[in-house]
Amino acid sequence: MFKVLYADTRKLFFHKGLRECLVAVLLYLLAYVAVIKLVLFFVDGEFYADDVYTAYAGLAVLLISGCTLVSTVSDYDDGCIRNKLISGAGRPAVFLSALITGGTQAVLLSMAAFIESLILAGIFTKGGLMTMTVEELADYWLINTMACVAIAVFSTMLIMILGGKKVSYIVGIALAVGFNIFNMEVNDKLYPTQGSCTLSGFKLTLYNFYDRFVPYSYLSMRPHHSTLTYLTGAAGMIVVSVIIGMIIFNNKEIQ
Amino acid sequence: MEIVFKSENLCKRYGGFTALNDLNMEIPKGAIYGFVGKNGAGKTTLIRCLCGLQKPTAGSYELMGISWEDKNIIKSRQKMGAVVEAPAIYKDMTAKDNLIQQCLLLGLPDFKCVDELLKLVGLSDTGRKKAGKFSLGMRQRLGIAIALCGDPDFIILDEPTNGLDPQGIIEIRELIIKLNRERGITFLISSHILDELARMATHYGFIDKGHIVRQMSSEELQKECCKSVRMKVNDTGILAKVLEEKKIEYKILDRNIADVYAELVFSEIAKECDKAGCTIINMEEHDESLEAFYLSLLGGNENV
Repeated sequence: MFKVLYADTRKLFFHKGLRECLVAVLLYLLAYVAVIKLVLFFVDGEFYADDVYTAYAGLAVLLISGCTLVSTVSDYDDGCIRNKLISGAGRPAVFLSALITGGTQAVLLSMAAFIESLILAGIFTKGGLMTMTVEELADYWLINTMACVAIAVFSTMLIMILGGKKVSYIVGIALAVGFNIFNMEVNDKLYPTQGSCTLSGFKLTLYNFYDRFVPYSYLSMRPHHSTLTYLTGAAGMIVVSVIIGMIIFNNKEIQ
Repeated sequence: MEIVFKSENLCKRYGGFTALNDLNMEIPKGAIYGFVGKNGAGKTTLIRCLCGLQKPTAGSYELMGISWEDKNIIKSRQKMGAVVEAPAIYKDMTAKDNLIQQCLLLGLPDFKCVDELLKLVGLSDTGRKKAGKFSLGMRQRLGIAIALCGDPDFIILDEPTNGLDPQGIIEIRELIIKLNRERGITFLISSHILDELARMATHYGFIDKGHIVRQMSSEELQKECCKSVRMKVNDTGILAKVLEEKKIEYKILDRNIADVYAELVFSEIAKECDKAGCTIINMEEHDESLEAFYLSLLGGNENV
């Protein structure tokens, strides 16, 4: 397992897809700050550090899904998954290593976004880093990173069981876009800007469950549940992805 | 005789389609085993089963003496290298980095073999060029170098010369022969280019509809391939009359060339031809090709 993981982690740093995603994160945050500053130049308003910290979350689902899709699908297409099995690596090792590598990509992207956010907030916002306590900041980025890891693991699992075919891109991107749209619906219904929530019965339970335990929803709003709830949701999604994916991948016919 | 791979009544079904049908096959140690069959005959399916990518539906096989159901089959696979369909390479890495990656995957203690392998396959001067920018032949050679990592005893090559130019084909062939002779590596090579296979294979397996029709050594094949004499004459029509009179089997190839399937006494046939008004321009012994043998064995001349 560690041999495969070591090789996969090394591969990650050579992968053009990850480097491009890192550049995309950095440029996105820079562009975000530039646009807000430009708007505030003409309109009276204040720019706070929180706005910079939460900017990455808006992009994260699509970015993480895209990044894992590109790296894992190319592994399949280039015959590298097949080569690992031919070289005597066990299927559980190959599968788990792919998931961990996917999660590592998410951590790297979140870390890059976190560091850049700190720098940009320190320079360009009112009050700089003082608008959030260190504890709040740490909690926010822990939740953010764990949600990204869970999404990356789930996305990688899908590609591994779909066999890296082109359909993986369609399913992966469709899910990312679908969850983003569903997030808006859930937030709109659970936390309406005017009046109170009118949901009841199964729909309320479903929306509540999604809001509390499905990591795709964590990135759409600032944290409003306990950190433990969010970590439970992220861990749950990782465990479910590992179990389902392992069962299917172990019996999968590789081309 | 030590056997590297042995299958007994191996079957693989995909729904209603039977890809491997009671397949029995043996690959002796040190052989270059030419695996021949039409498209869809089951060659790649067998290779996929052998590599552990797919599980057989019935029957069994042993790889270096270990049954496919035994967990230790992983150890046998670690002594095996393969290039199945396309070479498995990381396009964002250089040739050297690709080989280091394979060393890490195999858990080799160091990367000493990397430079030696690059030299062996003729890629030592590729420097920082990414594998994604390699030509097809270079990729194929890198694939073989990756398969050679960890000093394997057995290498599987699925269509190794597919898409290569004549120079590339010669290079790959020479590399395979060199590795077989100098390192004693056993090869299983599936190829569509039968004449190319005939230049290196020591053993053959002919597969049709998922079943091994015939296994033989190259010596046995040579004996079975009937020899002919290729004659160039001024008029094959007159030659045909002469040969028919003497009840000799022949095949007219064009107005001037014919293959004669018999041991001819040159002076005798020359005299007969001269008498009939047929001038012999030249005559030479001609071996029937592997392709012709294949066609006579399996019939038809669809995609070989």
